[in-house]
Amino acid sequence: MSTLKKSLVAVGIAFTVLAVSAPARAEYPEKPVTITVGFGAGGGVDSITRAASEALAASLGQPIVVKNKPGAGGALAATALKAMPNDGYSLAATISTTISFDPHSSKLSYDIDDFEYVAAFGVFPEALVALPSKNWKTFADVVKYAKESPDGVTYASTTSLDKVVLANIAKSEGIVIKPVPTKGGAEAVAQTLGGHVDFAYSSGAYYSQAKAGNLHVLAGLGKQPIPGFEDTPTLEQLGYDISSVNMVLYLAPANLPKEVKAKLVDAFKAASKAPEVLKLLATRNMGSFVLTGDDIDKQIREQSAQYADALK
Amino acid sequence: MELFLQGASDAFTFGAMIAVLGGILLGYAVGVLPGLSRPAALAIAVPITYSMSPIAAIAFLVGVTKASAAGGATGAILLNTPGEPSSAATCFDGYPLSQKGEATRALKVALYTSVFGDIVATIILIVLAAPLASFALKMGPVEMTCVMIFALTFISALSGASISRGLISGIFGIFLATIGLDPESATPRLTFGMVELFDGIPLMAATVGMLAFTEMLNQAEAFVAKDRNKHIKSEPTTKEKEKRLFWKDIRRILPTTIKSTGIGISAGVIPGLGPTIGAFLSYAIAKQTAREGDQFGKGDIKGVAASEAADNAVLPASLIPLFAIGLPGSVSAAILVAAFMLHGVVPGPLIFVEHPRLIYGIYVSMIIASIFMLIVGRIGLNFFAKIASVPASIIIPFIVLFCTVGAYLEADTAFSVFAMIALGVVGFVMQRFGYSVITFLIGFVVGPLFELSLRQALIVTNHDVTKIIDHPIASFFLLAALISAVAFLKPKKLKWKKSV
Repeated sequence: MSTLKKSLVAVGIAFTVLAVSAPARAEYPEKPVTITVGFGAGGGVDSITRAASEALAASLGQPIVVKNKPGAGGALAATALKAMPNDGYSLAATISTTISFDPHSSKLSYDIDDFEYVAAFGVFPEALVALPSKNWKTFADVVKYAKESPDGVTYASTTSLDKVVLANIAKSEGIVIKPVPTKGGAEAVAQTLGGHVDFAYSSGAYYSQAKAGNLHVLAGLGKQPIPGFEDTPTLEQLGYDISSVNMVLYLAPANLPKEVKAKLVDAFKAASKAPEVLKLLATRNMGSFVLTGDDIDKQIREQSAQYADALK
Repeated sequence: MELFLQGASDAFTFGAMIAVLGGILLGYAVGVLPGLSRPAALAIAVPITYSMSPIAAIAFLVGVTKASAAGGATGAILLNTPGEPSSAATCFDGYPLSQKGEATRALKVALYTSVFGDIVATIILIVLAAPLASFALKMGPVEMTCVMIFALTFISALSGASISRGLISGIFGIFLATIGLDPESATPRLTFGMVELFDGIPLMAATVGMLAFTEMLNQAEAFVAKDRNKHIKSEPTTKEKEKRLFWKDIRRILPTTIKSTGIGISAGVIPGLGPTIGAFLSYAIAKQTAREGDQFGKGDIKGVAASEAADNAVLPASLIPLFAIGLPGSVSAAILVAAFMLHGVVPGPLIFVEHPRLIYGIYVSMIIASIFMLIVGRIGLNFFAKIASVPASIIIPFIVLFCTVGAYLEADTAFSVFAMIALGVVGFVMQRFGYSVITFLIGFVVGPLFELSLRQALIVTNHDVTKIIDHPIASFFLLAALISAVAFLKPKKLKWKKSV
């Protein structure tokens, strides 16, 4: 080996050693943090994440890069995140059911233990809605009606989750509730407005129609009443032991270093109070409910266990 | 009236005008370039609007969507490669025209009919939004199933030489569209455990691969084979006669343009059909109702007019349910909903009551966008026409690059790129053996819509097919499907007799 080559190798080794030892000394975060949104640009999860990103960048002292990887209800982004290093530079934004429900209902390459849960913002105002001309006050009237009609009732469904919830109710009441699959909330609402189905499940698209009096809210699916429709009972209040609390969820690969997670949790806590985030949550009628760190971890596991039971 | 004037003055502010112009320029670029398509453009454009005022943001996005539809014809005419899937039907007559040395004429027809379709549909949106939106709501599962059956019969009209091969590739398209999660049970179908396939083969990978990449393979093959006479040879003609559009030409295409605009508006109002199907329907109907002397498929400006007028009329019409009742009826409309929400405006049935000034402003911006589209298109036309004289050795690598970027942008995964290349190769082989990629795409686009509507219809009618009698609109479309199926399968022979 020539002297030149030898010295090159030496320099190379020196750089490698430096490169390896550098991260240990530096403090997180020393480069931009990427959040991969599991839904398309402009949607709820995307806009809330982008609104939060400025506040996050301010508390972390590093820019936040927001990317979109839409597909399979957030599962594409979650699958990709699982393969990323757990250094706190790669996060994903999905909805809670991407983690708590989807792995039970379809074969996915991740499950709840593959991630750490940093924070969750807002609650989707999930509800069951129908035309006011049906003269149903609450979902209890739908059940009464279904008991008398031999063919049962139809409803516009948008997710696997709502199918599980309503199948459980139908089973316990001994009635027939037939889900009509739709491509999403807007179609479900249109089908209901057009009178093609008896009622619909919607996670938010119904809201402005309900406010205008074109649709009537029969029941909420969450644990809390729907903001603006406090008199409408939740399914739990109607006596069913099932609920859905779907939030915008921020997750990281499992085994995140403790101090990194603590920093992220603090940053998200601060971001949840940012006026632009609160304004967006209000526009989407998602309230201002926020869970961070261990609280969201606990809730996501509870929900996951509940859905695992319901799917049995 | 005062509110209208206020809205109009908002639309005429410098910021809003610049936003419209910016949208038109971006949209035109994306429209002209095969490979980059509207969903990709919107995905890039939405984050740009985050910092704009509501009216500027919406005007910008409307500009992008409108201009991408108009620009799509350029590639179709000059390179036989549609810039947008919705301009695929423009290839049928646009490319032969350009080969005849009438590229500029074809581009003019495409531009003027695009703008015509767009303006008429925008006016219909402004004037008739409410009644048309309540019609859109009447289109339930049963009605949509029959509309899809009607749309599928057009496979036979667009099959090309062999109807059986056209049907085979149409069914192949439907088959590939079944990949993904089952709409009813969410069970993965033919995904082989790949989460990337849960939402099916990416639509952009299929359209870009089958339309643009396949054509590039064709041209590359011709180029490699040194068969230079065969590749792009539509030199812009210098003969004035073929460059100009005469009054008699305009008179000849006007009825087709009006009819196609009507078809485009109907396709826009019916939720889910979209511009691609709208343009194919319109072209097929124009071809089927051809008069003596029409030369559809051999370079007739009527064919270009039929496809482009309908394509551009779809977009404003698809916004009708959004502005009237706050429900998005199309992908583009859904993106506008997102833009509304970002700026604190909640689209809903009360949007007109709560934000009349904003809506009037958007209406005026839409008209401004049409006018800008005409100006930008007219100026760009002379430059675009020169594309035809760029050698294939430069054109092909660039378009392949755009195809790759466009496919990647859809979902940010290399998977879409591989899917695009694979489908491009499949399309190349299919064309080689006379199987139409157009009917494949009709099957691929209509298939999932048909499946979903059919399964919905079976559930709401309790699996009782005879209940269709209770649905007059559905019965009408079913009858129309029957008539068109008979007409498409028969008249070829009849017409032959006539001409012999």
